[in-house]
Amino acid sequence: MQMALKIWRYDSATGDRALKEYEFDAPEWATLLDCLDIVKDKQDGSLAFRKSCRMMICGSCGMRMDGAAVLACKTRMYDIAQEGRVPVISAMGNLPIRKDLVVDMDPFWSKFKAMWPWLEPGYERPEDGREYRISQERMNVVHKESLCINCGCCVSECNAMESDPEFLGPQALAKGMRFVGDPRDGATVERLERYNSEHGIWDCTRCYFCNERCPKGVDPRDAIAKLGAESIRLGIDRDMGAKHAKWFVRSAETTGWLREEELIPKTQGYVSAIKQLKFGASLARHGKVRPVPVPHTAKDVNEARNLRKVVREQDRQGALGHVQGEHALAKLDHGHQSESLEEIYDRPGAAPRPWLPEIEEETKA
Amino acid sequence: VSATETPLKRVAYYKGCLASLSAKELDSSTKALAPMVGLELVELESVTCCGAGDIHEAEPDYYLHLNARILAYAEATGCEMLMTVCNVCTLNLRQANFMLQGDAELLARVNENLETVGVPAYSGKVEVRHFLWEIAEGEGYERLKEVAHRGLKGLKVAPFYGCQILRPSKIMGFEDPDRLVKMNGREVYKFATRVLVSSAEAVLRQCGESVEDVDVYVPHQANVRIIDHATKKLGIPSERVVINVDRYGNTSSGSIPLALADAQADGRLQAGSLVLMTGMGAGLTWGSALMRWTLEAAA
Repeated sequence: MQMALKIWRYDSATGDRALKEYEFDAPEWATLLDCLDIVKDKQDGSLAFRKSCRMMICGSCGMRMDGAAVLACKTRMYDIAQEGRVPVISAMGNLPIRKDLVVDMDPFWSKFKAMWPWLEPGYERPEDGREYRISQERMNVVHKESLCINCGCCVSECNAMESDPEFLGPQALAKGMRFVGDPRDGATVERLERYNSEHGIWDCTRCYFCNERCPKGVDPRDAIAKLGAESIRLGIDRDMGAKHAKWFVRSAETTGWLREEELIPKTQGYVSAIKQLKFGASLARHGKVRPVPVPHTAKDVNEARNLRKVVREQDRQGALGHVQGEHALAKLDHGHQSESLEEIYDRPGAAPRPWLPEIEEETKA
Repeated sequence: VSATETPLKRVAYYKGCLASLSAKELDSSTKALAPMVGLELVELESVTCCGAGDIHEAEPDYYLHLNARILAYAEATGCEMLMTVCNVCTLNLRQANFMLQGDAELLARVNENLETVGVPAYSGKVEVRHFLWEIAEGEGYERLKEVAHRGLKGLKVAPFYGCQILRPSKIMGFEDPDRLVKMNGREVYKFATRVLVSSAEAVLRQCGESVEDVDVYVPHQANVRIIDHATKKLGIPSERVVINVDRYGNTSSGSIPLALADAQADGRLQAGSLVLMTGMGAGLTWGSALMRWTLEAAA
């Protein structure tokens, strides 16, 4: 098929920058990475990009296509060629460009290291002398986070990092959750204290770009939410973000609706709130502050209050509260709402069902 | 049968916290527009905050139950749809709804808890949709076309979408989070150069003056490319054009007065000078003025 790409060429040594168009013939199954290989091989050997595995596991070929971060090896070009579209390929965002599509990953790795990306053993050896075994339920807590291949696509798109380059960012925090959620790790509190500092978990703006772009289904934003929940569960709540969150909880169980007027003093403190009195006065002039501090109370708010008491007794606090929804939400990824595996594998065009020992046992029986 | 004669569709209306107070315009405009686009709003009473991103993050299990309670009361109205007006509420409620719909065990546990505190059970059958979606497609869109006083054709907009009405797209599922509106910078450039020239020519014609008579030309200082293009098109020699965008940038409504002050200060404006001024700007509006300068040049 006939293909064309526009590629942003850049040389950090000279500062030269140019958008160059390349036309070439590519097989119908070609990925973006295959196309770049063709360009480099047949048209311009000076084109720089990273690659290694070609099968979505090494995380080398993160880049942007039409402004959105992708793994080049995961991106099939057939539909784009059919539309006659000429996509613009550029380096990932939020990281300095070295040459063409190659970015400097040093800032990425330094944040990665800041998370202590290793296990701090804190478990007792099983009495039977065998290896430590993790239950499926506990494995579910870190399953998605374990899928990360460090490609940087989430970092490329992170809005919070664009405004604060020191923000730890979605990849590092997802990696942090992978250890916080590991029952063998003995440094949970120390880790959470560290991740709760400035540029940490509460600086996420919840824009969900990382979830949108992650090519591996890690859902870094959800990992950050799990870290937030674990912090609150363990009483690590000095950060303004944590106080902000706690005020929503307090509002829900007292009046039902958000007690907006008190949100700033409860989050930033009374000194900061006094400095913003002028803004408050302007809100009041427009009827946006209730004149007397009479809370706007929802009907039957006692139900919401009792509901909190009931759920807090059921041991789904912290990350477990997020994990319990993942099974259902994963169905959206795969475009079905079905409960039965048979039904899924029977759909036309479905992949063959993988071999599992219990199936064989069923067949024998 | 015209769309306005068909009965209104009843929807459970969840306005959330901010539309109740600091963003109350959202509530009042929703209530004004809804009947015009075929919706009858059944306002929910026994509902609370959805928890925003905050309770979702801090106490996820409580978040799920608060939202399940809202969904249960929406279902109790007999409406098939729960309509939201806030992006954050929309994500929270849709997400909780998918969690409950896709996991029978979880739904059973949540319903048991709801029952304990006296809330009706939720079957999982309500659909959560944003008000904007109701007027962006389907019958709402058809009715909007009927009641809109002015069409939107050619309207130039600077969109701010907000994050959570688009993402995560698997939960929102309404539009492609990447390709929504086309930026039309080239069209703005073409428009600006066209009106700078045509409105200047019109004012000269009406006053019976010609381009050669213009001593000083002060266009709006948006960017030099637009000014250069217009100057060349009009045929005004470049020494008669006042440009200060290179020093002050685009100062919007201040740009022509500032440029006049510069021209007065450096002696280009003299008593008796014929000054041509053309502005264009927001909303894509434009206008020209021709003026005989009376102030003596600066000493």
